[in-house]
Amino acid sequence: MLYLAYDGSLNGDWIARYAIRMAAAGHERRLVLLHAHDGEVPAAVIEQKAAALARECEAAGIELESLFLPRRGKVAAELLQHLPAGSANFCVCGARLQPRGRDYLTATVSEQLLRRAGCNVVAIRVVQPGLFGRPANFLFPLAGHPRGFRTALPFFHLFLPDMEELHLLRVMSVSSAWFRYMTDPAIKKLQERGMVYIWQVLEEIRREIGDHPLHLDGQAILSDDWPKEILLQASRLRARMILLGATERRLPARFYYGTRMEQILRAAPCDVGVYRGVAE
Amino acid sequence: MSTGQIQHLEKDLVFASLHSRPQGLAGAEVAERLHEVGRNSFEVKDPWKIMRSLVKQFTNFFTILLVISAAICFVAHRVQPGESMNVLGWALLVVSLLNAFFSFFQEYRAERAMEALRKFLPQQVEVRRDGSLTTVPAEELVPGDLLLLTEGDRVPADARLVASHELLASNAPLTGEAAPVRLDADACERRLTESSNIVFAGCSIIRGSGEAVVYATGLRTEFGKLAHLSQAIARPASPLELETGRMVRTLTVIAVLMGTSFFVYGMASGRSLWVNLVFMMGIIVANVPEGLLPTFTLALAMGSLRMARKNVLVKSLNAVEALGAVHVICTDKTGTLTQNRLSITELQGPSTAGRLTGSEAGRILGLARIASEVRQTDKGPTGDPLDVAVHRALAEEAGGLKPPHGNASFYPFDVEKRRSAGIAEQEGRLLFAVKGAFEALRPLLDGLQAKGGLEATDDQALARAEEIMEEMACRGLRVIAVAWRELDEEERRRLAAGDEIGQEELENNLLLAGFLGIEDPIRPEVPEAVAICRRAGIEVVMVTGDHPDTAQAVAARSGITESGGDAAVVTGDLLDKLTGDQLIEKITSGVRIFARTTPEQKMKIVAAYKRMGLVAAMTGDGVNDAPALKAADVGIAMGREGTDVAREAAQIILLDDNFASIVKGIEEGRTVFANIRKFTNYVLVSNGPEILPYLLYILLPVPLALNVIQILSIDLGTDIIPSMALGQEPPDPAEMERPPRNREQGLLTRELICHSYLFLGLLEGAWSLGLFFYVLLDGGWRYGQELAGNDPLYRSATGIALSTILLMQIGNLIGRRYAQRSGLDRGLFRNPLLVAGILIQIVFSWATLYFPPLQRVLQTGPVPLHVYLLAWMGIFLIFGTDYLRKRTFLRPA
Repeated sequence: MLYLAYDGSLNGDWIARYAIRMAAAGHERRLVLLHAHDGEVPAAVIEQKAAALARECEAAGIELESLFLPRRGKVAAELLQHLPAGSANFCVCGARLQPRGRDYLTATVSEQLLRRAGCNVVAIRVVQPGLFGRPANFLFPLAGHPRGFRTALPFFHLFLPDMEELHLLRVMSVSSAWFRYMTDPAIKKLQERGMVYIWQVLEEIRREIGDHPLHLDGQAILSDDWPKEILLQASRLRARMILLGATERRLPARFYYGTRMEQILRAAPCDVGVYRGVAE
Repeated sequence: MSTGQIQHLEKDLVFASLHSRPQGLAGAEVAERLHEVGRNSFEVKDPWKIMRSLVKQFTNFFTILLVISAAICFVAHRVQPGESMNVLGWALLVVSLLNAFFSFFQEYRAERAMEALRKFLPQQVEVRRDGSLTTVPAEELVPGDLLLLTEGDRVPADARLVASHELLASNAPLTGEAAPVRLDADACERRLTESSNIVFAGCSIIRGSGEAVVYATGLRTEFGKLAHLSQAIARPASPLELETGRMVRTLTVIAVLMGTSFFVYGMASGRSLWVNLVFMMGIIVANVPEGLLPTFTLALAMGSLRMARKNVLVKSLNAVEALGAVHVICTDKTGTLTQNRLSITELQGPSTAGRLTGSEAGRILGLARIASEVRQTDKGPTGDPLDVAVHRALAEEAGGLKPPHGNASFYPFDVEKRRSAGIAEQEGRLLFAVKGAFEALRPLLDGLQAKGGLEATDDQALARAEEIMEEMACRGLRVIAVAWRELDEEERRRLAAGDEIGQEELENNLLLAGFLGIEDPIRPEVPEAVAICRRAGIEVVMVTGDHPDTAQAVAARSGITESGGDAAVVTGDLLDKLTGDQLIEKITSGVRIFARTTPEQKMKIVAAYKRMGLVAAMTGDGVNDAPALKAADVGIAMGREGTDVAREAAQIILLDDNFASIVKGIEEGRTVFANIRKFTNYVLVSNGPEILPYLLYILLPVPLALNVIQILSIDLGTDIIPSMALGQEPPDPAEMERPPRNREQGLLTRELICHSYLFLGLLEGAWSLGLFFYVLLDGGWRYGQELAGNDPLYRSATGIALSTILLMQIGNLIGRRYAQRSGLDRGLFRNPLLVAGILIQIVFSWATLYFPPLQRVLQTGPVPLHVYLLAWMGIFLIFGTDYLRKRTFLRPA
């Protein structure tokens, strides 16, 4: 089942487009709209917008169920209560700039959902509303996780029907001090290691998609600034969406990684999806 | 292709899809969207960029080492004043600061892409908001805003048209295509970048007006992505930068290790802290060739001046040598390999193959001239390049029809119709003529102008005409068909009455007169330049937007591919589908032509060559070439036809847009590297006699033969001009007969270190120390006896040691001119700096011993003349021994 954590904002409407496209890719063709009322948007407006969404869903052949949750505690806690656990369930939420903040995920409801929900969660930052939730060209940066592509697989299947190009990117991080003095053989060796990983994942994806027509490519790049490299490659490849895995690391690393993730969300030349998959 | 993208929508659905409306957005909506997606700005904000760049220059090994050495000098001066250590400290500090600031300034100057990009965007735009027209800063545009566009406007953001009137736009900044595109508001099934209902940021409205809803702003627009790449791509370090970095690191490590280990040894053996400090400083200073990096810069600067004389303007000094290191040149076709001047080289009739000459040729050219519009100016005929080519050919054709004095009517070239037409009087008849693509003229034909007269256009005749046309196209010619008819009585009457007759009305019953074969001639010097590249092991690859047949023909004529063969071509469509690995496979299998490519695909080609470990140069002229120019190892922009953005992104500007100039630049670049290697070798030789006295001083109870000031007088004084002289050596004729050097082959090779330190360095050290001890012993010194720094005997001995090194550097200097030959065979006087360098060494060696002011600074004293003559013998000793080595161990190339 696909759940949309909807806040009633314009950004929420843009993210709803993604949710509708993802629901259309699912077997159940159902979408549950979850709205925990926080007073930011009047209830009447929410209902009006939900009705408009229902019409869009209907046009796409999707059944929409709207759940308006009265505010009892914190919004995140309220939503988490209504999100069933399990790898078959998905939650789509937004990554949007806080009214007086600089961050898109840190200390937001979406961050809570990404960390604590028992289902697959994807938080999306939309900067290109003109795509209508159909980014045909994806950039998928890989951190070299031993599980490879498996954590991203559930989301990959949801995006697959609209996907035309998928570019894998393995950024091999090198410290700035060392990067300046690296020899050619050392650079080649690291790049080759990255490419071996890319080829493994490409093979995994090819097995997964079968005959589905998809332009697949991958590259391994050395950099002393991986967020900058991801943003650059997104522009170079004309990517319409960057799909990033949320960290599963411990707090200090998460703090550092989170800052870098915010850097990508802030300067992204295209939409960004931050996902966390749950094990089967 | 998936449906449902912005260009696929019917225009009445556009507003709803972007949560907007025909009255425009309300103020609150604008504020909300501005908060969500940010300002419509193309600037990549990086407030710490300048600071980072500055810090980088001060954190390289060389600068750190010099700064630490300077600090030690200042401390030493505080501990024991009167030894002039502060002077040394200041000298080292100034050298380090000069190096760092010079590098910073170079880097800063190269990063000005945004200033050029800014010109492509308007400051203010007209939008409809809350139902009324308003002018707002372009930076405040948001998705959903309704833009009003009129002739001459620059488009501020990517937007979908919802209304249009005769709209014609130039997308040249994005696509590089000069021809304007016709736009309308109807739904379009093509890809976004090829859609006829989208206006793109950075592009301009040539004609008409329209209304469009913004769907992407800032860096999310197509132009924004270009701007992002142009600003954020870090220029790859040049081969020389990497090599000098490694060299400096190696020398620094050697210097610090030697300095500290002997400092520890000195402390352990009971010497005073002061003596050990001076000793450590001396070892470090002796090991570090302080003058080498400034000389690198000077050699590159002089190389850039020589390149400028060859029409190659270098913006970044490191590009001088990088150009010499290239393995592959990815070059444009038009204007670089060719003259960018259309020329009619062949005329053929419509029914029989064979070139038309004489009056027949004049006749078809005369008809083509009717369908052309040329203006006469002070600079000659101007207008559409094809029209000018027709005009020129007609003027050159003896017996041809005279150019009409002015057309009665002219119908300009229409992109969609793919033809132009005109009416003019010739030989008393009023003729209507059309010229354009054969496919465009074919439906209008009623007959063929055969040799024997008219021929009806049956299928067979048309097929024959098409065969002729295709045969011409296969030879790389651009083929233009010419058709005509005489105006009838009624049409003549209407024209005389001043009636306007539409082109469509006249386009019937036309007779095909024949075909014009047009080509952009190859620059005459290009085949030879390509041949030089081949001999020099450099691959030349053509990247063009032209048709594969044209590209193949030009590649064959210029020698990039073998003539007669069917060279493999990768088209832009295929390039899009290829993965990085597949592209490398194609390149490895021998593909040298990329046709029908878009400028943005150049980056993919560059990336493939870089992944193959090759140094790639890329040429470009358009705005959208900027990312590829920046990503390439050497970006080369066109000086005449290039845009400001391309010029800002490139490291090298070709002033004459000529491929042959690139090859001249490569030769110069290779010469610069060869010369850098020569003077590195030269400079490192003097490190040997500089280090040796310190080793003897710490290991044996003997006086120090050279003090730190004397070492610096060599490194930062007398060695500079001779090094510069070696940097000025003319190119070796065999330079372009050798393959490019291996990227992994550094500047500081094991052979060079052994030759510098263990052979010539040792020889210089042995001879200078020999004379040092000769003077001491001759003056009554006994082994183990300590001498005061101001003792005249010690000053004479240290003077002759320094003087000997200076003189022996003359022999070293001459020997370094050639790796395998003596160096005298080139003629000393052909390089005036070399003569100056030799004179400086001679004068300085004399002044060190006999000129009191210099004696005071260097703490030296005089020696008897015969000892000084012995020092002169050192020149022949080092030159002769080295020449013997060359003759014995090295084979001439």
